[in-house]
Amino acid sequence: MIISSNINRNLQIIKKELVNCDDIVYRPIKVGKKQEFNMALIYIDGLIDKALISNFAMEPLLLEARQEVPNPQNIKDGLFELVEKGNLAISEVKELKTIEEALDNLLIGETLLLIDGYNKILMLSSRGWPMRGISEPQIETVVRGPRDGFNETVKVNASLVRRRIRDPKLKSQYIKIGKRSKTDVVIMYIEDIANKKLVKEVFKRLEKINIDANIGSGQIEHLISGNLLSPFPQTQHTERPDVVASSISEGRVAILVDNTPFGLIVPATVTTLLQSAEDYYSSWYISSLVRIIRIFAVTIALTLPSLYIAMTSFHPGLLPTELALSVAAARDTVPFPAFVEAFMMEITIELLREAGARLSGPIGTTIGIVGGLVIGQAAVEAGIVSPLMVIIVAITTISSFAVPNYGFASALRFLRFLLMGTAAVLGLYGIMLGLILLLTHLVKLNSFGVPYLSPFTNLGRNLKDLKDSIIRLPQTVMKKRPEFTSVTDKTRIPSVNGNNKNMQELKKGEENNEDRKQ
Amino acid sequence: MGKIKKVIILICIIIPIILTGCWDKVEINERAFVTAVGIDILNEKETGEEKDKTDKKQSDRYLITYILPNIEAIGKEGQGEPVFIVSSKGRSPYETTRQLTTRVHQILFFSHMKILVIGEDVAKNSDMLREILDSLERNYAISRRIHVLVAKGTAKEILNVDSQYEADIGIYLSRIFENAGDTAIFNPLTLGDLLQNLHDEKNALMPRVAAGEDDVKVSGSGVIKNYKLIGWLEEIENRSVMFLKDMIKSDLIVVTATEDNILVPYEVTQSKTDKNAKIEDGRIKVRFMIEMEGDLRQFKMDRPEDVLDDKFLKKLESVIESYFKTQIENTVKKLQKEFKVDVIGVNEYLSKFKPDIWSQFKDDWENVFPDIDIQVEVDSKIRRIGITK
Amino acid sequence: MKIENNKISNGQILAIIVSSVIGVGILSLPRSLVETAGTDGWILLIFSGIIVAIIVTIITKLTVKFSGKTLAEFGRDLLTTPLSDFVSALYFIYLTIFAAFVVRIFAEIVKMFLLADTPTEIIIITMLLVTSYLCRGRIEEFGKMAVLLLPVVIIPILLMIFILIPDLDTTNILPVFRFEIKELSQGIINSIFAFAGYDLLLVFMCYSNEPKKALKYNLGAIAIITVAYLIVFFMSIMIFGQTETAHLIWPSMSLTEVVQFPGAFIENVQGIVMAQWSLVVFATLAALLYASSLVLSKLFRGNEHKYFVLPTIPIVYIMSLVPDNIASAYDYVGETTNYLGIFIAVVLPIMLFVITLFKKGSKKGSVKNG
Repeated sequence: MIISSNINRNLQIIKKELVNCDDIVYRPIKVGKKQEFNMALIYIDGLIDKALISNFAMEPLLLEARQEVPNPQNIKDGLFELVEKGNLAISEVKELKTIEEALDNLLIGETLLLIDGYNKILMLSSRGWPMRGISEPQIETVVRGPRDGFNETVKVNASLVRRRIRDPKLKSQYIKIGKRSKTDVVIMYIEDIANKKLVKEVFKRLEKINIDANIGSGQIEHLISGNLLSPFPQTQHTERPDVVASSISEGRVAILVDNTPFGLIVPATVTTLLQSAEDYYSSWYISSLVRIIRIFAVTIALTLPSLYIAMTSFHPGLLPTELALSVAAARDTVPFPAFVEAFMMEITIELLREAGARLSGPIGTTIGIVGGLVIGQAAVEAGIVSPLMVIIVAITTISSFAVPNYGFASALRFLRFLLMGTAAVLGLYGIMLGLILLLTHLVKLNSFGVPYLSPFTNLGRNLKDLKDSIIRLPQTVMKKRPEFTSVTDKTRIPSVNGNNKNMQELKKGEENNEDRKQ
Repeated sequence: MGKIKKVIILICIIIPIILTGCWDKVEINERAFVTAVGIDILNEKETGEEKDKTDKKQSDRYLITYILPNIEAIGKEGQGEPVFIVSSKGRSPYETTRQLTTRVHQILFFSHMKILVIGEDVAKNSDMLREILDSLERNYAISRRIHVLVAKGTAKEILNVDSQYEADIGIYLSRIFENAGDTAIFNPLTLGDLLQNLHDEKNALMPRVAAGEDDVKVSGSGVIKNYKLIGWLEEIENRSVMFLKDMIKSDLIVVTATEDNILVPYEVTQSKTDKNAKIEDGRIKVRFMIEMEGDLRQFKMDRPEDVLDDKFLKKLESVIESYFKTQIENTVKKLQKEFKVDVIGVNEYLSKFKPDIWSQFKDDWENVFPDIDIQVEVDSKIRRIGITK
Repeated sequence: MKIENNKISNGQILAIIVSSVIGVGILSLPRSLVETAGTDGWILLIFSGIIVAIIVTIITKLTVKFSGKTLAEFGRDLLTTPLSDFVSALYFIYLTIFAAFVVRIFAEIVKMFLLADTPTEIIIITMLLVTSYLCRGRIEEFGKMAVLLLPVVIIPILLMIFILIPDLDTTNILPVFRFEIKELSQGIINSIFAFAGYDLLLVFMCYSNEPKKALKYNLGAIAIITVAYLIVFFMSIMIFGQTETAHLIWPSMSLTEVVQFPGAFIENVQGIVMAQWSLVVFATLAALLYASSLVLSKLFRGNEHKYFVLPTIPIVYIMSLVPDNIASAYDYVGETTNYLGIFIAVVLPIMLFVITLFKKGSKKGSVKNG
């Protein structure tokens, strides 16, 4: 809708559009020597930095502009002359041509300046709302590494990333997602490293999103995933700007979403989902060991209960004799078959987790401990489950917490039940079938065109990626960027020990200097 | 949507298949883990009614005893007898076991079986022995690593011993094998070894077990020839055979030394036996060269002899050597002349290392073996004598 | 973004061939070698390996010449269309019989060692259905799966050496070199069939993304297979001795019984080995099923092979239940391999190759004359 030159008419339109929105403030001002010119400031209380508007918009307009005699001609011709004369010391000023644009900006948190007689509306950048300060990430804590995590404002988050990569090639492009929510989403990538097709694909998928209101990055993650039926996450999410920065410099693309402290990184493969930032801050021995333990944890979290069912119900010959006898003795009092026992305990643990999630703080942890210990102990004494079952369930749960990526861990939780089902029908053979199906599914899964099981699936170039998968070799060995992102600039570190071009140039420069001195 | 529909259809098809049954599911506490089995011949008087009246030959012949640990007796709340010992009879080993299912309330499970004891009488009957061994070999559930022993007397006697160490004779015997380590007193035979020996040569050496008051003793061996027990080898003879087969890891030998017959225990720590064979005058001549080293374990306090003296030790060594040589030669004679069975592995050696000689004689080995000239040479060294002179 | 161009790398083809050959053959291989040549079975094996390597070279040269074309397509070029279709049909039958055999033996073993009471039908049908999930996918996915499973196939064989070292009796391989040439030549035909599966190169080579370099990889596959078989043979002989090895139906399986991890948690390694071996059989079965649906789809001039997977499954299922027991299963396969197998795996590649030589010659000839 066109903005009219009549300020009252504009105000009327805007007020009609925003009827029943009591948090919108209309501040009429009169400017000019004889206060004959009408202007109006419109803003949303709570979304703007009020001090900014008061000091730098209203004060100059009210005080100094009154001293001038703005010429109506001038108003039509030179918008910014007025602004200059008015000394509007706002960092960002834009002119808006339609009512819709004006409303959009108003709802973001900018202030609108309506000028009588002028058919454009000025937007004064004034965003400022109460936000959570930069605090430690909740989920991905690191012992030795930075403690700043994302918060809910996307511009802050983008700036955190930019602080780490001060390269003009780091591009950050904004788009809006959601017809009504108009959520700001910024896509960040390094232009001469990331694969152009990947970037194009990211944009394509984001632009295809057609929803009303976007609430969080989780939704976006779901909507850009290629395969909706897979329980596995095809994007990596993180709260840490250092993870985003290092991923970007490997050639991946980051998507930061307003109102969510979780950023998304694509493409994601199994190895990236099992990595934690800690791996890169500790020595490579420890990191390699920890990674191997993590893989162990994944295996346990997935298969331990089903192995228990298979071994005790189908193949006790595979257990050592004494263990078999003591398991038999323990289970003698239990009225349920092994499958039902395992199932019950797993469901109980899931209930405890849910309950613990509702209650936060000290109550939550206490319930967790109380629930776990007491219920487990009592169940054993009542003869409902065998003690071995309690141990197995406990180990499984702990292992699933060792998985760094929450989405991946959730997938494992889900699949664990399926495997228990197959184990209950066909024992070890059933588990093998289930694992084959799982493996086939993972082999078919792609994240943005990159095979999910990337380093392990091709004998060839991709083998080099193994340096950073199950183990982590020292930085000096990982000279090239990972293969799975098909980057355009392959070398990560020009070189380490003084053979690189930069160093040589520096040295030559020094020599030149010395020559000149002489 | 098409994809999701397909998945749903798939699930609908799979679920009924799964629900129809888990065919193999047996709860672990419903299984009876058999740890030891003993096989005897059914006493004539105890033969029950003939199962199949049309065939008189098929009367019950086997009496098989099983040891089943009592699950309820395990753990801190254990109560009741620690093991169940049950016997059953039938016409063939497999059938006898199946008979048991009519009396035992759990499903028999043999994968944890550890010990098989074959009664003396059964071992003397080559048909029965072959039946038993085939049923074991063919069965996938019974591990090739179980130990097989022959009982002096009946197996039932052995399994029923009320031992002070361990109620479950199966576990007791298997521990003896595990922990005896490297003694030469018996031949630690597993089912796999037994089957291999019998297939290759029809001969084997089975460790012998005897029942005592409240324990069992494993020593010596039963000599099996042509699938039949033909005699026993006592401890010392067994040891000789073990030396000849180069299966000694360590052993204790007691010799008498010096004029007043002091007993000197000499512990062998290492031994190696080399063989050599050639044909001389139409006869095969085999030479066994045993090299052993060991420690002097005991002498007698305050004796004039100086143990740290090289000459004294050399004297002792030659005493040991001649003592040993005599023992081994006696055993060999017994094997050649009395038993006429080659359990010392001459045939194996010839077939591998001297195939030309072997191909000449292999068809008639049973008769050739007693005639071959076996020479034994022993070279023993005393390495350590302890910390005193 | 990777282009999905329906090509797989040579390494992936190597993985496919290795994992499809070392399937069921490895179980009974020591026995058949010992039955034919005693302790000299390994010599037989090496000879067969060399012969197979020669045939593989012929196949590679043949398929590289027609790079990009599947067997059915270049078959039409070399032979007349009806003849080539006939050959394709024969090949399809061969593959399905082989697949039926593999899955039947697998089910028998699973029944023996793992699930005694579960009906054989269930074991077979579940394995077939699970395999079909992979086979309905694209060739890239299949290649990736093969690479993933390759270590599962190879590493246990290597581990076996280390674990069994204390129990080995190396003298069991003696005496050496006491074979008769006549016995050997009988045995060679049988042991070439331990390598059955290399003929899948006829079907899969057309997907290679670098056909010129393929020969190296294919010969490497044969080398890996030969070495693996040699290891299993030697282990068998050294642990059991030749008489016992000839007596056991599946010496490799019984080998796992002997293995004992010192002081270990798992008393019976057999369980782990069964699990690992299921994956190996899966790899073999998947390759056979994939190839057979490819051949069938080309026969019907279809484009997508995936629609032909599900119809093939009932065929394989029914065929696998035909033999009454293990003995007749081995019998049936013996018959097939003696006629059909030799034709497909040995005669056909040589014949096709010779025809290409002629065709080339005659083309040149016609240009000269005309």
